[in-house]
Amino acid sequence: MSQGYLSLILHAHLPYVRHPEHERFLEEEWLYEAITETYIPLLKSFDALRRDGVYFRITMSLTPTLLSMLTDPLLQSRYVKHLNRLIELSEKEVERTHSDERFNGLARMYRDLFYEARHIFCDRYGNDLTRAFREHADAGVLEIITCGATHGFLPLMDLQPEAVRAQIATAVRTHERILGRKPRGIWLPECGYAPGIDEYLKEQGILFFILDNHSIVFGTPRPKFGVFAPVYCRTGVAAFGRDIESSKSVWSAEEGYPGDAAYREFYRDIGFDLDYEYVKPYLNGDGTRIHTGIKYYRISGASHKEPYDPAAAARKIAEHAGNFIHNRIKQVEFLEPMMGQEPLIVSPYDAELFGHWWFEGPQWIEMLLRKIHFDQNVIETITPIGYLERHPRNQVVTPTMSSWGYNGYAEVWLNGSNDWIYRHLHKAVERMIGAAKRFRSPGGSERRALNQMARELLLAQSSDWAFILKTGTHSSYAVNRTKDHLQRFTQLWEGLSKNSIDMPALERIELVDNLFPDIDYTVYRGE
Amino acid sequence: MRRKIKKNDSPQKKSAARKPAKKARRILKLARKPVLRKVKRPTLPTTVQVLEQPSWEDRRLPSHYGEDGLVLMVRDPWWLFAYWEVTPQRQQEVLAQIGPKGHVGSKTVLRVYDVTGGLVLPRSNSFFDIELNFYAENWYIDVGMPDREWVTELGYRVGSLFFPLLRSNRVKTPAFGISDVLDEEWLLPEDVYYRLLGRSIGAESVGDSMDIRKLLEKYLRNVVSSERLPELSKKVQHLAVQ
Repeated sequence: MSQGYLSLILHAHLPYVRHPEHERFLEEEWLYEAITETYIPLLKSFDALRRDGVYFRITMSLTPTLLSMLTDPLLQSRYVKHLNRLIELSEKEVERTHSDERFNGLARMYRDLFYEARHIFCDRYGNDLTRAFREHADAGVLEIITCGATHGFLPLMDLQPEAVRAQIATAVRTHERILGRKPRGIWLPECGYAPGIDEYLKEQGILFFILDNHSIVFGTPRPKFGVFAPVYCRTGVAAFGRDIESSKSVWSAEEGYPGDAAYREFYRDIGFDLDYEYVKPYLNGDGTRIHTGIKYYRISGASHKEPYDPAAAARKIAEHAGNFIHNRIKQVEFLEPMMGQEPLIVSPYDAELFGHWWFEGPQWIEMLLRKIHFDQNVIETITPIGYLERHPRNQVVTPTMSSWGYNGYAEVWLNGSNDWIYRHLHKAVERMIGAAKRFRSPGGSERRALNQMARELLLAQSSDWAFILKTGTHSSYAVNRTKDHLQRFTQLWEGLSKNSIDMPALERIELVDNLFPDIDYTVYRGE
Repeated sequence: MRRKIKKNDSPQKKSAARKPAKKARRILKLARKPVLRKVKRPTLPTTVQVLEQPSWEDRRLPSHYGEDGLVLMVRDPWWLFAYWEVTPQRQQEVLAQIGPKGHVGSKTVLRVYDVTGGLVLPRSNSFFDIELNFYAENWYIDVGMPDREWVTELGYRVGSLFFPLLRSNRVKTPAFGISDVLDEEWLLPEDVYYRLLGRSIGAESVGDSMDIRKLLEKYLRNVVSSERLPELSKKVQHLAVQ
């Protein structure tokens, strides 16, 4: 019997980026990088743990946009092409570095990783990685939860309840269609919550969600156990608060594990380092230099970089996993006597941090789970739902409005760089609701237009666009996406209103923004 | 800040493009995992349907919708955001109420009412005005008070009279601090509670609710702020490098 629990939660999300109108498109790389560097390595770790009989429980949100991209045939085939190019490049790298021992081993490491990724992606899962996640869910080790349909930031949407409902309902529908079961939990986009949002979750049969720390700590009434036990909203939906200590050890720029000098340096990539003509065929889009994923150095000093040493990194991984467990044990031993029940430590992270950004991240998770299983008996991993099953009696607390963004509220998505979008988004929702109520029994093309309007509206609402606008360095893509979806929405709305739908245009739009094939616009009726 | 990418000191210089030695070639061969490569892969589509760049791509959004509206949103415990559109017809209606004389000295203001406790205008606990320039269409409102309810009106102020053009929806700023509401069924002794709560926010010990507030404020502003920031800003950075 353990004294406490650890709930690891990985939020896997990418905005819907799919551009059939271009042969190669730069932003599609986000998905390809995440597949090779994060999703496949995590799946490999889960495989290895199960093979070795390690008891573990882990939770991942796979957002509806990510699930849609992972099951899209065009993106799947483009990913394979991308991977084939990487394999070709890595073969060349093995040849090029053959006389330099410091780099040749690394070149071979990447080449082998890419071959293995292709084997897993193509041969084992027939290009559909959602099958792999589903396998682990079926085995009971992985709890897959959902998110807003397009990761819309709900607290800035809740003026119009239909908008929130559509985000949740479409998400649940997509999750069930692709993964074969309804989600029991949700990762609210950006952890964005405002009191009342739990009502829409309850409508969809969702049992729990995750919040940032202050949302619970500042909740009403005072939460007896802080964030170390879930609370129930009045609707009965459970809210789990994020633990700060364990967050810091991974995330903090100063104290976080990923900054250790033994780990691989993200910023030294052959896409930038090598001769332009040599790497050019492997650069996506317009041939500008980008990351290829082949990186030969470790973090080391600012001016002088040492070659990466996987064996030294492996030692560090073990040390950091041990340190993480040591600190969780200390936490649990401190809390358990006070609480009189097993405390729960909730540690949520962006999934793409592991592997893509922190190369060794998936190995660290694997090592962590091994050590928890073999080396101690104070803590055990658990899913939020598992904790609720063991501790169904919890305090009723209303959490406060909050997010996990900078400053803890809505500022990241509502500031001088992006506030202009809300006037248009709210208007589009209003029009969508009006049209959904007006067309009680639409004809075939009307229904198609209404459903496509719903897709465009959802896509325009992605919090990713507002976020990129805030960061400001490369906002034109986010501006274009926001405008494109709003414009497509408006074009369809006008056609519908004037009873003259432009069918060729509708077909083009359906081809480009093809996600959520079973979307149902009537969700906007609010009935 | 992240370090800049330097283009010298690259592994490219360390190797020449000559054929690998026999032994090295043998090692390479072994390392190539022939097992993986023998597996037959499904045939993949090689052509991609390339669409024409559609004509609706000129990306313009309307500057106005020709409808009256004032929308109030919560940014955080201290700030609200309002945006609005007033039609010329509505302006004329209200200006007609004011009459020709009042028009001269009128100011366009955003009146912010504290309606905490479920008050409905014209009842309010208090209000303050923000004077706007004629062209403003949105405003960040420094209400400075968590856990209060707010409504705003956009209108003309003439002397001590106020002529509203538009009224907003109602919002509530979130609480920022430990709740005063205690749940008798779920109580811990105070000293134990603050030790637990201190741990809850990642501190070794805290004395009271003010400490918690300060520590959480620091956490929100500095420590592990936006989770997605490193991830997406990295993406943005690497796009910017190009």
